[in-house]
Amino acid sequence: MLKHYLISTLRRLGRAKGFTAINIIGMSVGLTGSVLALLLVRYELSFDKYHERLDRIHLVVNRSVSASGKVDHQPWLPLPLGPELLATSTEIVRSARLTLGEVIVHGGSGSFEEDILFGEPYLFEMLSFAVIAGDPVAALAQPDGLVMTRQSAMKHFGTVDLIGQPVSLTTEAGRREFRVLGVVENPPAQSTLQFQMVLPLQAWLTYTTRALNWNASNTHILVETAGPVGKFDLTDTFLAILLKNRSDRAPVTDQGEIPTGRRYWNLSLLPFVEAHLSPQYASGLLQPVDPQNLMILAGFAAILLIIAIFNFMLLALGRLQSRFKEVGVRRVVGANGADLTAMFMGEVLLTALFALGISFLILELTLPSFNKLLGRDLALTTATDLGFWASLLLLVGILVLAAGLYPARKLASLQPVQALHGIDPSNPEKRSIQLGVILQISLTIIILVAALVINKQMKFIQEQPLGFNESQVVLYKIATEMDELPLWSQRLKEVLSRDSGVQSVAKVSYSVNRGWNRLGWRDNAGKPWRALVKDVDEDYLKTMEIALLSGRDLAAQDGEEAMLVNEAFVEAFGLDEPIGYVLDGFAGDADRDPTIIGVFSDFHFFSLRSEVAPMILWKNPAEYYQYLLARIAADDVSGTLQRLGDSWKRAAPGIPLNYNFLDEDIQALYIQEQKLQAVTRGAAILALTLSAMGLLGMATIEISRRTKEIGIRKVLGASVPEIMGLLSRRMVVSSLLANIIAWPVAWIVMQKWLGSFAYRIELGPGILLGAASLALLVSLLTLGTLAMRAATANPVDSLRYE
Amino acid sequence: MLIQLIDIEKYYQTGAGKTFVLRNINLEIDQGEFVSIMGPSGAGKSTLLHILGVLDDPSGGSYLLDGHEVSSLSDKHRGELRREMIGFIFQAYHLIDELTVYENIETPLLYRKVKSAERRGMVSDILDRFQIVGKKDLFPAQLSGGQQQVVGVARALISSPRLLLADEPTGNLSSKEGETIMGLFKELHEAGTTIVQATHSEANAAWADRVINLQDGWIT
Repeated sequence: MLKHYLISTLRRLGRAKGFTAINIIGMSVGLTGSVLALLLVRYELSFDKYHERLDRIHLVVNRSVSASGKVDHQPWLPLPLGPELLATSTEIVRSARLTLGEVIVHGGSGSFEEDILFGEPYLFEMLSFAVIAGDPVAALAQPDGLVMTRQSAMKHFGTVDLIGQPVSLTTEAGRREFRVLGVVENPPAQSTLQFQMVLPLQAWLTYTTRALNWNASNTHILVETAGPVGKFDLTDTFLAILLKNRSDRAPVTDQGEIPTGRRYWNLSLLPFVEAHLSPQYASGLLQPVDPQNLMILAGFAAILLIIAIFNFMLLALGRLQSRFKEVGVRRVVGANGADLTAMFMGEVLLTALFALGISFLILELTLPSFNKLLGRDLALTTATDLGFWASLLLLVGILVLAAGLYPARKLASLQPVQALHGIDPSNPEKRSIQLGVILQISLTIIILVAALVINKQMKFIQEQPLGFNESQVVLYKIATEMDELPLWSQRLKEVLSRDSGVQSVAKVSYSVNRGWNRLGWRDNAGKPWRALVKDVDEDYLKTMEIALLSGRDLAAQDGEEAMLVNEAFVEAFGLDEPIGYVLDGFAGDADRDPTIIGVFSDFHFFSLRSEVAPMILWKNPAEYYQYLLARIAADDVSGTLQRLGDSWKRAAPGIPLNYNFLDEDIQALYIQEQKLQAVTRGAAILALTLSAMGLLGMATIEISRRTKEIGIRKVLGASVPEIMGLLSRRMVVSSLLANIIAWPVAWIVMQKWLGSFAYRIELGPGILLGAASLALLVSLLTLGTLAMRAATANPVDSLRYE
Repeated sequence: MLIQLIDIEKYYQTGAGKTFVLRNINLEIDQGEFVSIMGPSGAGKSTLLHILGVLDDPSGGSYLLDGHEVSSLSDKHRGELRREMIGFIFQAYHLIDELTVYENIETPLLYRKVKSAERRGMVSDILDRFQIVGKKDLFPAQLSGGQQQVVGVARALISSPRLLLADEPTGNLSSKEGETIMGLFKELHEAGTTIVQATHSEANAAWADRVINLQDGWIT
């Protein structure tokens, strides 16, 4: 029987090549999208799963609430909190503080800058990184211990056999020797923590000065609890620690009241397994993905699949009549309803399997570029990954059932005589088809709206004035020890400034989005305030082309007593006369009372997701400037860069030349959105194409059904436009009705997405109308060519058709 | 008695009320009888055959097939009845276009779940018997009307049905082809198959033991 069905199905598919192609292409596109989404979602959901004690590992996080009630999510915490937690709570059995850093490795093949981790010994006990040689736990307990990954060991020394090998490193604290005491495998791609080397926390310069400082938040803290996640309530522990060490940040006062008018902290444990999907805790170390974007991607895949399902179902329903005779005959020779359902479902399954084969082929071809786009290494997993195959089976099952069950039931429920005479007694499929077409167009409109919104928002972001001129600015990193920064930053600034292609050079402690301080002071009433602080020199505003609105710019002779603030600062603190305003006890130093000397226009320090925050620019008292910003002339950029590189190497042969363009840095802030934009654009084009293909099939059926009617109308004197209008009317009505479903759904979803941007476009009727018009246009174009052919045909032929 | 129809009616609900196709049909057919139903177009011949073949339900009355009331049977049991007991031949042949001659004939056996080897033997026998072995791999569209009807007959007979129903079996055939089919019916009849055929042709009707005349839904 199976062979019989298979043969007749293959012949039938071969006979209706056009419809078969529409079905198979549609399903394969839908399946390709779904498999990609499946791979991606599984990939993102399986981060960090390889750690054996994952259910006990947490990240300590801070959901701080400002005086105005604004919540700020921070994974950065004060250094002493780690040991304090271990000492205070019996439920916390291990803790490891860790932070990102950079070193220059003086290896066998020269000096290279390397991103590293500073961490504590328990890091390698709590997390399961495969050890190749040595003992990484013991390594981090030694002041000169060093853990390398296979990749960095091979890169610098060409071997992993390095235990005991001295390595000369330049950290912020200076150049000194470390010993390789552990070599581990590279962290898997699906690891939140990525590193090349790990140094003991004590080797971090900040640690030597801030180990006991509760006022600066500059470390991540991982803890291991005595039992699995969810068993503990550490609220009291955290409260006790805060009341003891930072009572001004405790969520309740000594009297148990919820604080008003001041910032307070909510410390809690974030299961480490959730870190990858918690974008609110993004930091240099943690680079989580936004589950919302994943949902949008999965949504696109689902919509593509649903459109393919609709295509299949609608074409099957539209062509149901062509199957009547066969169904009747099979009934006559003894088939019952179940036999016919099985036969039709078998056909759908066969089509779906063809489509699956093609989609695997498409995936094989497109995965590399998709991986490149998303920065992932997705692969069609091997046969051993049962979860993947089970999900795939489920997906194909859903596809087959959704696409086939309704038409199959329709066919199976036909009475033999009705089937043999080609009579559909209830004829409800006309209404089902109309409804299906409406739903299908509405899905297409939803994707179109999403694509238009994402596109417009990205364009808006790219065109939004950032408050400074980011083009032609080159950011040079001065990778040397901290103590040498004052010397080298000045010397290299002079070197760069001398070049004729350079217009201006400024020293900064951090690049635009790479780091900041949040420092505080007290107002006249003794109330504490905080603002973002950037350390810059007197050429910063000029180099960045930021407008000075009032007062004066920083000057060469100014020291830490002078500062500039932005408009947001003036507004946030309600300063009527900002110039001359004194910030008492700034940065925790009672004797430091700098004065505001100028106000500059707001510029976007973070991405446009967040609002411009109050900001202070001042000179770093210790002149620890890690970066140089050089504005270069637009002509002969490569020549200028070449000359600057040469001059740099001559002046500072020991400091690696490391630069990038500021505008590239800024673009990198929106990398997730850019990926989403690219994917959305592709999904929208595919959705539109699939829809058009489905409509083309439907139109073919509709017109062949009405051939006789067209002939009669023409004989009776109908004109070509009238016939076209007649044939297009239903499609136009369907396209218009589709908006009733699509608009609210698209509006709600995209409004939510836009909500994550502080600066965003208005989702007005223009976009909705645009998407609707595009969908209508494609429908009409699809239908138009067929309608035109039918309308201009010789009426005699049309009548003979019967 | 193989067939017993008691007060069978068939009507369709139309805007103006009921349109009757069959009225008050009382008919008994014995096992092994060859019966012709004659009447002009629209007399209700095909509808009567469809009811006899369990392809359609009467609107009223009772139909006992081999002693069993048909109207109370489920879809599954009706399928079983058609599979096991009834062969049907149509004026328009009704072969499945996507299947070859061989596969068309084989189809009823598949629904009867006859084993593959046995199936092959049965189809080969019938191909032989109807001398269409050379055409077994052709599709219906590649055959003449007469050849298609032969295949239709072969398909109806492959399961050796006790009841053969033929709706204008020679309507689309030349008189020579028609003659062949009638000869075949005669053979089957002699071998004990119950045959009921609907026909316009008096000559064809005469091959039967008994002729029933139908006029506007009534037996006259």
